[in-house]
Formats: sequence, C-alpha cells, structure tokens
Amino acid sequence: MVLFSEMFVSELKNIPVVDRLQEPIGTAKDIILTVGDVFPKITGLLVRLNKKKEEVLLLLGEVDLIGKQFVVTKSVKERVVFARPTSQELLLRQDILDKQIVDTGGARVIRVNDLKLGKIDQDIRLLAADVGLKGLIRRLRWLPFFTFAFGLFGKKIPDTLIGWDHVEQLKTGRAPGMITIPSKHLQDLHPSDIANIISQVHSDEKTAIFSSLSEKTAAEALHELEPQIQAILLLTLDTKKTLGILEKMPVDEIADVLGDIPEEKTEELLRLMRPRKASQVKKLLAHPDETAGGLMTPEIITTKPDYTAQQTIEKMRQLANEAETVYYVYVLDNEEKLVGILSLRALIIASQDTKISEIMEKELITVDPQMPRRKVAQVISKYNLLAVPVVDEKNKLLGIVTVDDVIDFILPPISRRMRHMLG
Amino acid sequence: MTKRLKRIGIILAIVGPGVIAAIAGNDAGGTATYSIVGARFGYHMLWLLLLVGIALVVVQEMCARMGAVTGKGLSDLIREEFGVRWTLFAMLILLTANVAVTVSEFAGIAASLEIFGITRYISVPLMAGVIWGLMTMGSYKAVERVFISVCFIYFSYIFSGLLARPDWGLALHSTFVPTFEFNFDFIVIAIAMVGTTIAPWMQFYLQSSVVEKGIKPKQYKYQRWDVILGSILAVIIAMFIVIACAAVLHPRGIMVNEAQEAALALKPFAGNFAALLFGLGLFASSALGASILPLSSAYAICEAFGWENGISKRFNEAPVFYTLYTILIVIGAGVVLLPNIHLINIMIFSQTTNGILFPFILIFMMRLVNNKRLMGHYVNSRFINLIAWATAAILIILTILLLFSSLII
Repeated sequence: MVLFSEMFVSELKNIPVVDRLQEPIGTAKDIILTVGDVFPKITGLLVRLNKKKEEVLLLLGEVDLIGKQFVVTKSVKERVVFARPTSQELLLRQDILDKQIVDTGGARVIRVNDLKLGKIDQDIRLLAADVGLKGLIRRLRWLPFFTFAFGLFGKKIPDTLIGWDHVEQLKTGRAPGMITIPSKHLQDLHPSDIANIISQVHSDEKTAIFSSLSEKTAAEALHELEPQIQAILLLTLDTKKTLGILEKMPVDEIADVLGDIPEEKTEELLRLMRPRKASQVKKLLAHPDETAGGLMTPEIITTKPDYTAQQTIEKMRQLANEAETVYYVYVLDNEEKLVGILSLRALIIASQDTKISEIMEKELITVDPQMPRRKVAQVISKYNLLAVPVVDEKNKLLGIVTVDDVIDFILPPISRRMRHMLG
Repeated sequence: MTKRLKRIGIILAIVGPGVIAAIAGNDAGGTATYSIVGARFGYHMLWLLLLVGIALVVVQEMCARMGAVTGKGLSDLIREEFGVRWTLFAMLILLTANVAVTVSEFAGIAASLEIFGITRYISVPLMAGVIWGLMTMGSYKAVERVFISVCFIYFSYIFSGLLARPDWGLALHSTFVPTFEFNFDFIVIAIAMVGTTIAPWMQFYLQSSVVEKGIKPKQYKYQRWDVILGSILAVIIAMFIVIACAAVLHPRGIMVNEAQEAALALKPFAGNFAALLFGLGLFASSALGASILPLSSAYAICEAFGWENGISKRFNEAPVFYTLYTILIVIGAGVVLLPNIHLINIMIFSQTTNGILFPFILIFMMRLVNNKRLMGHYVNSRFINLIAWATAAILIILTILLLFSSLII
C-alpha cells in the first residue's frame, strides 16, 4: 500500500474515494482507529457511498492509496468489500478532533486543533495532536495566506505538536460512558497537577479520571480540589472506593471534605469508616470550618516528660506514618495536658538517656479551638511555626494546625497564584 | 461559616444561576429599552414582551438542559460539533454582540453617575480601572454578589407600576392584542426589546454556570425550575418597567432622551427618592454587566479555540484571555467617552445589534439541543422547537423589516 509519509486529518476532509479504474465510489467522511498502542493504528475509513447515501466502513486492507486528493481502492468498484459501522469504533474526526485531551507532559487540558498521521513500518498511525495556532489556521484553510503574512515579518507560524505518547485521551469509544481507562501517565503526575487537570475537564470526565486513580493518589489529589468539585466527585463515586480514598487521607482533610457534602452522605460514610477515625472526624466536624478547631488534626505524636529521648524516638518511628507532622513532638502530662513541645532537632541532638522534661520547650504558644483561621495564620506567621497546638480551656491538647492549613492567609493573593502555578 | 450554613449555601447555589442570569439580564440596556418602550409607545408593545417572555423561558431552559446533560459550555459544544470554521463564525458573532453590550453597560455607568452629578470623564475611566482590577484581586465573586443584591432595587418598579394607577384595561388589551407600527423607530426598539431580553451572552453565561455547578441530568428538575422562575421574574420586572413608564411618562410626552427622565417612572413609589433609587439600580446593574461581559466573552472565546484561560493564570500563561478581556473593557469605556455620544441611543442600538445577531446563535443552539448523540432523550420536544424556531423567525423578519423601513425613509 502506498501512502504519504505524513498527513494531517484536516487534509483528509471529504476527499473522494475511487476504485482502481478511477470510478467514483464515495467520499471519505472519517477515519477509524483502534486504541491500545502508544501510537494508535488506523484501521479504516468511514465512507459515504455516492449511490445509496449510506455510510459504510472501508477497511485499510481494501485501500491501495491514500493521498491528499483522493483515496484509491485495490479492486474495482463491484468487488470492494465494505463492513457495517458499529457504535464501537473510535472516529478521529468525531471523537478526537476539536475535543479536549490531557497533555501529560505539560500537565494541562488542551483542545485538539488537528491530528497528524504518519506511516510507521506498514501501518498508518496517529502520531501527534496539533494544539497550536498553525493547526487552527490549517483547519480554516488559510495556511498559504498566513504563511505569506508571517513570512513578511521574517517569522514562521508557531507550530505546537504534542506526540501521542504524551497524550491522555479522554474518550476511548463512541458509546456514552466509555471514557478514560488508561491513566498510567496520569498516575505519574503530581497530585496537584492531577487536581488541576480534573478541574479543567468536563464533569463526566472528572469522575472518570478520578476513579481511575489509585486510592493514594486520589486521596492526595482530592484535597487539592475546590470544595464544589470535591462534593461532585464524592457524590458520584461508589461508596467502597470513596471509603478507600478517605482511609488514605488525614483526619482533618476528611473533615474538610465531608463538611461540603449533604448530611446524609456524610453520615453514611462516617458509619462505614473505621470507628476510631470516624469519631475523630466527628469531633472535628463539630467545630466551625474557619476556626482552629475546624482546621486542626488530631493525628500527632505525643510523649511524656519522664520519657527519655531514645524512648520518644522509638515511639516516633511507630507513629510517624499516621502523623501529620514529625517536626514537633508534644509533651503531655498524665491528665493529657500540654506541658511542653519538643522540636525534632532538639530530640535528635540530645543524648539517648536525656529526660524529655530537660530538653522540651516550656514557653508554649497555643491557640484555642474557637480562634478564627486568620488569627491562627497570624500566630503561625509571627512566631515562624510549622504547626501550632490547639488546647481547650483546661490546657488539654486537642490537635494541631499546620502551616499548610493556613498558608493561603499568610501569603498575599499574588503569591497564592504563583503557588497555584508552581503546583 | 459553619458547616450548616455552608450546606444551605450549596442548596442556594443550585437554585442560583437562572435567577442570577435573569437579574443580570436586566442591565443598563434592558432598563433603557423597557423605559423607552413604555414612554414612547405606551402599552403598545406589551404583547411582544409577552411573546419574548415565553421565548426567554424556552431558550434559557434549553441552555440549562444542554449544560446539565452534556456537562459542557455552549462554546465548547459549538467547537466540538461544528469544527473550527463555524466556531470562528459563531465567536465573531458573539464578540460583536458582546462588545455592543459592554459599551451599553459603560453607557449605563456613565448615565447613572451623571444623575448624581459625576461627569462621565471621571466615572467611566475609574470604573473601567476598578473592573479590570477586580480580576487581578481575585475578589470577583464577592463583588458580583454585592452588585446582584443591589439589583433587587428593580423590584421597586413593581410597586411603582401598581401605585401609578395604570390603565389596566388598556394594558391587558395590549398584552393580548398585537399592534404594529411600520416605522423605523418602532422596529428598532422592538428588536432591541427582544435582543435585550434574550441576549446571546446570557445563553453562554447561563450554560457555563450550570456546568460549573456540576448539575447532573438527575438533579436537572430543580435546576429547570430555577431557570423558569428566573426568566418569569425577569419578564415580570420588564413588564412593570414598561407599565410604570407607560403610566407616568407616556401621558406627559416624556421621550426618555436622558436617563434622568426614566427615573421619574419610580416617583409613584419612591417620591423624591426616585432619582436616587433609579440611579443606584442602574449603576449596580451596569457595573455587574460591565464586569460579567468582558470576562464571560474572554472565557467563551478562549474555551472554543482551546487557548489557556482563567483568572488564576498569569498574563504570559494566558495572553489571549487577558488581551480579550482588556480590549473589551477598553472599547466599552472608550466608545462612551467619544465626544457627542448620546448615552441612551447607544444603549438602544447595542441592544438592537444583539437582537439582530441572536438568531445566528439560536440556530447553533437548536442544532446542538436536537442532536440525539449529545442529548439522548433530552432533545427538544416538538412544541419547544416550534417556539424556538418562531423566535428566530420573528427576529429575522423584524430585521428584514428594519432594512426596508430604513430604505423607505
């Protein structure tokens, strides 16, 4: 079979299909491909017959040549075999062109302006998505004019191609619901990038992408999303998966997320969660959102004044996985009252047998659970803390608020945007 | 905010977009048009307003349904279903219409503040700066809320209309018995009235908000009522503006050549505070429109062509988005500052532009909403199709008549 070396889908619009004797058969309407390979293989053309005005499938085996002017079949008109199109084929024009794809290299959602096909060995494959200005202009068939106009200024039309190996397709079939299964690329992205992508795609695809993530990645991405999107995702995901994801999240983030969905759903999820975690979440939910109590996490590492440095380090090893931060260890007396704070630094440089009471910081900066978020942020910022303990009126330790819970209030809006940008 | 309050907030959010779009639709151009309709033609155009109202309900409902079923915005859908060439066409139409509306919003800002004695050469550049800055400050949503709440001032037209002792018999008669005048003024204002009530930008804005709220087909039945109520509300307010103006201004031969004259229609309700109330309402609705329109146009166009967009991006990440946004504000404010510009006329002509261009957008919408592959069994019923096509037809016929009447004169 003879074929061009490279070609754009836009150049294949409505070109005539003729048999080997140049007798007209029909018009090429669309291109059929199979997913699975990194560069998907083209398997046939959707042809609109001249005679019956019906659309049929012309498999590539029947085709002798695909050119920019016309498509030629191998045999004569009467002997060309057509297949009947089903709803399962993926069509380049209808399903991929003009739709959104995920560019995993740039971690962004972007629209396909054109598609580049090329010959690899004996197969025609989908090589790249054109997402730049040149693709748009080619679609408008204004390429010669614009090339000339840009040339006047000694410039070239900017051309942006994304290799299909960096593309995550959002649709894998024509039937509704057949969206996003392959997400190997996506899994490898940073959770903030994934969150960014999820927030840009359409609602069905949001759920599809999200449910294709591993529980751990999903847990991290979920917290990065806007409350509204969190709610949409949790309400559409099946309960088992939701529980798995919640299991991987710190308690304060669970409380955050559950605070934004309808009460019945929250209660259902709390009933099904591990009882210890559920009761911690319930306590947090009782506090208003924008206060220290609503922001804090109870997952912390504590020790006692009469423990030694070595004992404390042992305890840390056991609890470090569950804890929100390991940079501070909180020293509690027998009545669970906060008597001191130990920094990781002080703990490591102390000799093994040193008593905690000797090295702990006794001048404590604490906040009460009702303190509004903005005030908490001020405290953390003023004393340069990584976390601040939340205590009740009897000085009993309830939890800690970490700097990342309030960072948006410490940084001015511009830097917040920078942070968003840097992911 | 407590969890419980937040939850109420979410419920309110679901019943929001339709009402908000309707309130925001009653902007500078709307107020000016309805006031002139009442002042110059009395109750004569009420029948057309009733028909427009029905069309508004139908069109807005279509839009919200498309948003809920496909999860995509209108410009998204146009691009995905019609390709680059048609998208370029549709976006040029939208851009033209939106530039016109933005100009009229700034005219509204100028006119409202001139009631309080502030010259447009101060108010317009200042407000353009403030609106442009809103985006960078990121407090856009909060400000939007404030403007929307001030817009409820327009409810005072209902009281004013009731207190002005209108001729109810005549009003009722005109609502159900069509009358038509074949002259340029009548047709221009008729098209403006349709164009301001069902503007192209409202469809894009409404569908985007429905999508943004993440409303699913299952929850759509609530959304539908929100949209229907919003539209009915908008038409009721519009009708009362016409009735109040017909009762107060028309008998005295006031033509509403200046915004101050339109304020008189609120006198039966607000007495000496009429000018204040009218000025405030006009200012808030114009400022709301002037901040929504450039943003919504930039979003729609960038989405359609796949250019980076969003106010969380920086200029060099989303250059087209920011350029469009800025250009719209600059044109909007700039046109109003041209010497010898007549504010009221510019508001009317921008609404007429909307009315002339709307059928094009409506045809795109009809093709989309009746596409079974996209909409499944949520495609339009035959009855809805009939009303929507009739709307397009009436606007096209009016436009042709306008051409003829301008040739005759």
